[in-house]
Amino acid sequence: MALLEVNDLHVTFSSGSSKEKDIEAVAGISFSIEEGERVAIVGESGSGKSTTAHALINLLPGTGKITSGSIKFNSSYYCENGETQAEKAFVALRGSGIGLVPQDPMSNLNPVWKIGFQVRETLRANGFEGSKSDVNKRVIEVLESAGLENAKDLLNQFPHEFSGGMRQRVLIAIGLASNPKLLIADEPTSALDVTVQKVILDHLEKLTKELGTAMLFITHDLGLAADRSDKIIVMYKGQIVESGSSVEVLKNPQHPYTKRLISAAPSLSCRRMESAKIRKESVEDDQSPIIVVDSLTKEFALRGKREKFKAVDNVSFTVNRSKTLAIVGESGSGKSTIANMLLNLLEPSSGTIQFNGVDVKEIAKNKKTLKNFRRLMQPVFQNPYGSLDPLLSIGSAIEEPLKIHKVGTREERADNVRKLLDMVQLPENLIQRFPSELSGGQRQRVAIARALALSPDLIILDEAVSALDVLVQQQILTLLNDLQAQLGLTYLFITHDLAVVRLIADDVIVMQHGKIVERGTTDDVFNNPTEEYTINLLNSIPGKDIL
Amino acid sequence: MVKYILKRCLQALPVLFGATFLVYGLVFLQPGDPIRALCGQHCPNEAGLDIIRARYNLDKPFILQYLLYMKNLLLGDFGTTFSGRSVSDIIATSMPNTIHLGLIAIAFEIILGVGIGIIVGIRRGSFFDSSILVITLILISIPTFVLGFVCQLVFGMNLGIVPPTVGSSTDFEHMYMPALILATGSIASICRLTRNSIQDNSYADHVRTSYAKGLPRYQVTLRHIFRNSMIPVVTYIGADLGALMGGAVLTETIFNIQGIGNQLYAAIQRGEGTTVVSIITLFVIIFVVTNIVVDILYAVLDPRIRYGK
Amino acid sequence: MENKHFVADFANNLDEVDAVTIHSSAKSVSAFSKTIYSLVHNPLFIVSSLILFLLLIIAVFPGLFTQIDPTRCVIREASLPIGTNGEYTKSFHLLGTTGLGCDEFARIIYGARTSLLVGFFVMVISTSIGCVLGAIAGYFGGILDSIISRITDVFFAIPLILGAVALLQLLKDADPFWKVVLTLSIFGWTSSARLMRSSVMETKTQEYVTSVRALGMEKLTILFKHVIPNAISPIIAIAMISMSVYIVADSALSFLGVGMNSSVVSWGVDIANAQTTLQSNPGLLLYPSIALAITALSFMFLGDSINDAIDPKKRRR
Repeated sequence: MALLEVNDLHVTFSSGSSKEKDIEAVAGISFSIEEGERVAIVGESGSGKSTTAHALINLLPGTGKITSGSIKFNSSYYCENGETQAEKAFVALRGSGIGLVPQDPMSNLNPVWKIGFQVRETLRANGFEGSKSDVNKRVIEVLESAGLENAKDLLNQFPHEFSGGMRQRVLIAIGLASNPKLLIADEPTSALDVTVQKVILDHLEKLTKELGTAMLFITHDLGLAADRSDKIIVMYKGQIVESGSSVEVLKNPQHPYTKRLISAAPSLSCRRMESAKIRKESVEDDQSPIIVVDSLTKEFALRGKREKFKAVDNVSFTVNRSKTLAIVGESGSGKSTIANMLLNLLEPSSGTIQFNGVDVKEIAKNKKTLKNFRRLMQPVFQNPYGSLDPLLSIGSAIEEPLKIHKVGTREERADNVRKLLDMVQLPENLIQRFPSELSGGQRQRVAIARALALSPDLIILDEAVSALDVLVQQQILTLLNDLQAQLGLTYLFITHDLAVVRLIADDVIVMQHGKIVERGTTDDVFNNPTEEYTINLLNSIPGKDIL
Repeated sequence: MVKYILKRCLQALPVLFGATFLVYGLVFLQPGDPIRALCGQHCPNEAGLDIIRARYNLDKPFILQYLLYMKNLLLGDFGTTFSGRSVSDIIATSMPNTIHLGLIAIAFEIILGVGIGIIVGIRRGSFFDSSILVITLILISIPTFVLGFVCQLVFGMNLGIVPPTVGSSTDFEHMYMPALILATGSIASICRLTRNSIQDNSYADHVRTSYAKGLPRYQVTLRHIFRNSMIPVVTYIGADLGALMGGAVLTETIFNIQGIGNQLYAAIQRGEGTTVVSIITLFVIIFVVTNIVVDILYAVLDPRIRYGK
Repeated sequence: MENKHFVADFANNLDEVDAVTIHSSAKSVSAFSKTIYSLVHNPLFIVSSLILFLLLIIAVFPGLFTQIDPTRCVIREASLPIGTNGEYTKSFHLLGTTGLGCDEFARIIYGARTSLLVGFFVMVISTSIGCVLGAIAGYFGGILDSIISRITDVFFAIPLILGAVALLQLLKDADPFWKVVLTLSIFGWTSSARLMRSSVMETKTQEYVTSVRALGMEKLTILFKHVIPNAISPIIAIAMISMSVYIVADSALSFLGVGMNSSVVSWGVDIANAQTTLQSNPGLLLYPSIALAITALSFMFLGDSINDAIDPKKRRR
């Protein structure tokens, strides 16, 4: 007898109007989970993986409804032929039967209640009898088992006093508090740094193994899924395209979609991308570095504290022409602060930046030279939804840099915009469109086109592919790689994701707490890391041991 | 928490002085000699005028006048009207009536505004919900004094259900209709705010997580939706007190309630600058002080405010 | 299906994975045209804008609606009931006459102009002050922000009507129309300033703003080209709603005897004057009150429907 059996499940979101079509988010999926088994559902955004998870405990958002199919858990039907049980049955099921660890630790704890209260109410709601001190004892117990030390002192604290990792531990404690038979972990660590992610997932794995809890792991990361589960279910557009044991699916994928996913997953590849385009040879054979950074430091004054916070601490490096330098680090490592100083959006506290051999501080003194300098260095940012002005059409967005620098006549600029769109492989008919009509990947292409408009020497890619789905990410990386070969561009690639670095970078700098801890060519750093932190980072890349 | 309260009080001080200074300045910067304007043809000689000026501190520089005025005010002395009556006296006799009216009005705001807001917030999208949305807009846009007159006419004079004027009586029977009229606009605004706040909160991630924890619906609603939804409502009630005080002047005048607003109206009619300024200054002080209280309440409701920032 | 390796049919169309084109059938829609679309499908917007259009015509061409001069009052025809012909003037009094013998209907028609103008001027002036100060405070931050925010706090601490009463004491002899406009503007700008400040602060951290900074656009150009256009939309809705507040406040000031006086044809003045005849002739109070309430309500509806149309939170759902 399987613990959970899902049969031909359909979930539809009704649009509420006759004009728009209803959306079928889950289109007839069947799977089962045995007691103590660990199953992962893998898919990109919109694949229906989270909807499936929420349907199991009848917590579909908005207008979502199970339209047909059945869900059987622990030998009783919670949904039979599309008819769900009364809410009462699900209240009894949730928490004690099926626990949930949600995705975003920042928004999933109620900010106005103390941590202790939020764990306590979970216990009480699931039938924990006993005196107040018994409950508190148990609360401390579950918090400590989730890896929070000194849990006693944490009871009276509020969520905002906790870091993301700590909050996720609280959520894990809540999910497991009433010893559920099945734990749904919905992208439990995608908002966290890789090293934190690894520690938390290791802990979660240990806990569920000890308790014999089955786990349904929802993730977009194939490597992570393979690492953490016995069975993998690959979903695409509301359907299961492939499922089977983790090793089998990964080593011997059958469906073309799975194959694409595996080949695109950066964590599973081990060498730099080759461009199909022939690399443009440096015409002037200029071997001097494009940027030389010397003992760069940036301090921020902290509110209410006399001591200043050193975001970037005495950092020196060079960026070579027509190459890609990656700066890798977790949140708070100072990598984005460096990007902003290079772009002259932030002033360094001390140290120098030389661009093409000229001190940037000198350049910045004169408005005209600064403006010229800005032509040569362009950024592409992370958030595809924030990087384009929603009021400007795509055409005007790409034209804007040309206008600011008064390049060409109107017709020439329009011509240029078309060429740029072509360069990033977007169709011309996008010129009249607005950002809200584009997908994340399309917007990122537009952002790249805009960055290319002034033919810069250097492009700073600040987490430019981090928010994208794996397949789109791969497309953008390929595009960037091709453009580099074609135009002889230099990239400064800033990311938290070591796996991507392997694909695109020639040289790597690893940063921690504002300092460089390791540097070298990509191959060197990946194959022979010397610093403990780097080794730790590399070990945290999910899925690398599978293949 | 104590640190927060102290900080908040310190922040309010410049606002308090700025606002009272502004009001004081507005009236006392008038061109011409207020004493001479007042006594007209019956003015005593220059020496006599000087004595009167000295009594009202009018012989001193403006800024000093203000500081002396504030000093007296903080000691409970609101000065005297030109006719010799103590403003403090006027305030002392009429303030309780206004407080009475205001408290009943605020009670209505909370009971009706929050109550109806919660009901429509839960039944969002229903016909009831959309009709309440339109009705509240209508109520917000009807001027207080129009509503006051119409109710006085219909319920007081024609139907005789309630006393048309209140006079010196301050029992609930006399007061509830004026208070309800005074509160109408605020009730409607609070109702809308509560509804929207409850709706926004019902979509919050942590609410779904609470369901997933196995909490029954009523517990999620009470602990996680209502509790969080009240935060903006409390702030609004504080900020809305200003509108309520303006409305009190109108309501008290219409229903002849012997409150401070009525005194303000009477002072305007008689052209008594000092009294007008004193009463408005008092209102401003009450407004600023209540908002400190509201801010503290806000911090009680939302722990994120207490720490940090 | 234990750990059997399951593979779906290859029927799934994988082309869409690579799609970079947009279906050519889809029409291009800007954020602006989306807003317009949701506006014209909102009955509240249609009704309120029709009423406001009518009011606008009344205010601009009052002569189209009545031939009677609202200021020509004949004491012999005082307090006539609804729909009587004046014996002396031979004119038809649709809504009767006032205690001084002026035609009530004509006074309501001509009063529309005053109310709309007060509301419009105060809205324009106070919103402009609010937007400028709010944008400066939010965009430049630092000491400028501190100063402007404190000033806003001070003005915010004085309730609109009370502050207006105090200031109007000072302006007793000034032009009755402009003193009210000035007074309400001085005490009305704070909420739009606060809103603009927070809206600008939110917009300026958007990545597209950083992008144009890195492109070398001047700081002020960025403010006007990217920050203000994106930050201003919530202000527009609030401005419409505030019009109704100002129109009502103007009447309240007339009622208190510090606003406009009988030299101006205005609803507020008529309502104030009708107090004395409340029992004998309630219509005199009722008609201008209804006109006032409908006008205020229309602006409220208009603002609310605009707010619904531009609120990104609601649009996402």
